[in-house]
Amino acid sequence: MRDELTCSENRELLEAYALGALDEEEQRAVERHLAACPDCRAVAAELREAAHALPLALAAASPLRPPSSLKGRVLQAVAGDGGTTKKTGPRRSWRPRVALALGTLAVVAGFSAWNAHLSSALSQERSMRERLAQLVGRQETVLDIVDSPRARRALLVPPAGADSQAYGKVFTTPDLRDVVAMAARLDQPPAGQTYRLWLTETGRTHSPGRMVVNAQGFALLVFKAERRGPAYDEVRVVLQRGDAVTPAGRTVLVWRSAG
Amino acid sequence: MPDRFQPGGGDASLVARVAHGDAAAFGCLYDRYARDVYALAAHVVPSADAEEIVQDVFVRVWNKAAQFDAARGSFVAWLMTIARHRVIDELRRQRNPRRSLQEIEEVLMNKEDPASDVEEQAWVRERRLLVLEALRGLPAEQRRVVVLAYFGGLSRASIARELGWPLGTVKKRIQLGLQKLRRALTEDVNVEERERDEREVAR
Repeated sequence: MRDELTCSENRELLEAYALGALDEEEQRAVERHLAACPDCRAVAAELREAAHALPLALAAASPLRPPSSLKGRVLQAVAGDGGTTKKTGPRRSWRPRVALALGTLAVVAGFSAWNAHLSSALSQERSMRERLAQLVGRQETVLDIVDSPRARRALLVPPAGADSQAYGKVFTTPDLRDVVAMAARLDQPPAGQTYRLWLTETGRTHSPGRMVVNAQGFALLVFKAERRGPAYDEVRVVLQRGDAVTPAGRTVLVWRSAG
Repeated sequence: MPDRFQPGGGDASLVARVAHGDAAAFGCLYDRYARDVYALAAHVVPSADAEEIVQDVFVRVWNKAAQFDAARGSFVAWLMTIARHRVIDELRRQRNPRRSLQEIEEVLMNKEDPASDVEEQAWVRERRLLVLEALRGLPAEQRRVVVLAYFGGLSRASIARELGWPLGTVKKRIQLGLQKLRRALTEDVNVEERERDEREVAR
C-alpha cells in the first residue's frame, strides 16, 4: 500500500472518485485523505453533486418511464413491513435472458464478412438502407436489427387490388426495443400528403412516425417500441394528410399477423 | 436546489418527514425521482429488472431516510449513490455492457426534443434540462469518458482499454469533463463563489 496522498495528489483523483471510476486501492486512498481533510471534502462534495445529477440528464432525454403501476407496488412494499428491511421472495434471475441477447450480438458480423455473401439485389437494398441509416445516424442500430439472426421480419405488401410494386419490411428482435421499418418503390407523395407508419397492437393503433421517401422511392424509419421484442397485430403504411392523427387515408402497404 | 422553488417542499424536508414514517412525503419523493432512477436502470438492464431496482432503491430510501444528512449533500446525490450502486452491480454481471452504453450516449445526444410529461413538476424538468444541456455541451471525448465511468461503472484503466486512448488522456478528460459539468450546474451560485474567492485573495 502506498503512502498517504497529498492534497494536490488527491485533487487529481476527485473527479474520477465522484464518477466512481477509481480502482479499489485508489478509492481507499482518497477516502482516507477525505476523512482527514475538510478542504478536499468540500471539493469532493461539489463534484459528487455534478456526477449524481447525470441520471437527470438521461431521464430528460430518455423515452423510458416507469410504469404507473410501480408506485403502488413500492408503496405497498414499504407499508407492508413497517420500516424494517424487506425481504422479497427469491429474486428472478435475468441473466439467462442477457446471455441470450449477448449470444445474438456476438453473431453480428463484420463488414467484409457480410459483404461477401450478398446477392447483388439484396446488396443494393442493403447499401441503400445503410446510406439512409447513416443519414439519420442510426446505422449501427439498423444493421444490428436487420442482420440479427433472431430478427423477425414482416413483409408489407400493397392491399389486394392495388396497382403497385411497392413493398416494405418491418424488423423486430426479441431482445431489443429498436424497430426498423423500410419501404421501397414508393411514389413521391402528392403535395400536402405524407406516408405514415401505423402499428396495431392489442387493439391499440398508433404511429411511430412518417416514412419520408427519397429520390429512389425508398423510406426508412427507426424507432423504439414501448417494450423489447414488440409483437404487432397489424402494420400499415398510409398515404394521408401531413397532419393526420388517425390512420385515415389510402393504405399503400399492409401486413397482418397470421395469428 | 432551494426549497422555495419546490411546491410540496424541498427534498431535504421531505426526506426528514420520511424518516418519521410519513408515507405522503415518501410518495412525493417517488413522484419526483422514480423516473430518473428508472432511466438509470432501464438503459442497462431489462425493464422488469429496472422496475425491481426502482423498488429496491425506494425501499432503501424509506428504511434509511434517518441516515440522510443534508449537510453532506443533496437528496438527489444520496439517492443516486444508492441507485447507481445497485445498477452497476447488475451491469457488472454482463460480460459486455458496451452496447447499453452506446445506447445511452445516443439517447443523450438524440436531437429530438425531450418529451415532457404532464405531471412533471416544472422545476424538476428545468433541472433535468439544465443537466442535459450541460452534458451535451461537453466535447464528445469528455462526454464519452463521463458516460462510460458513471453509467458504465468502468474504471479509468478500463475506459482507456475500451477506447484505445492513453491512460493519461482518459484521466485528463475525466477531470475536464466533470469540472465543466460542475461549473455549468453551479452557474447560479457563481456570484457567491466569486465573492468567496475575492475574500480569499484579500486575506
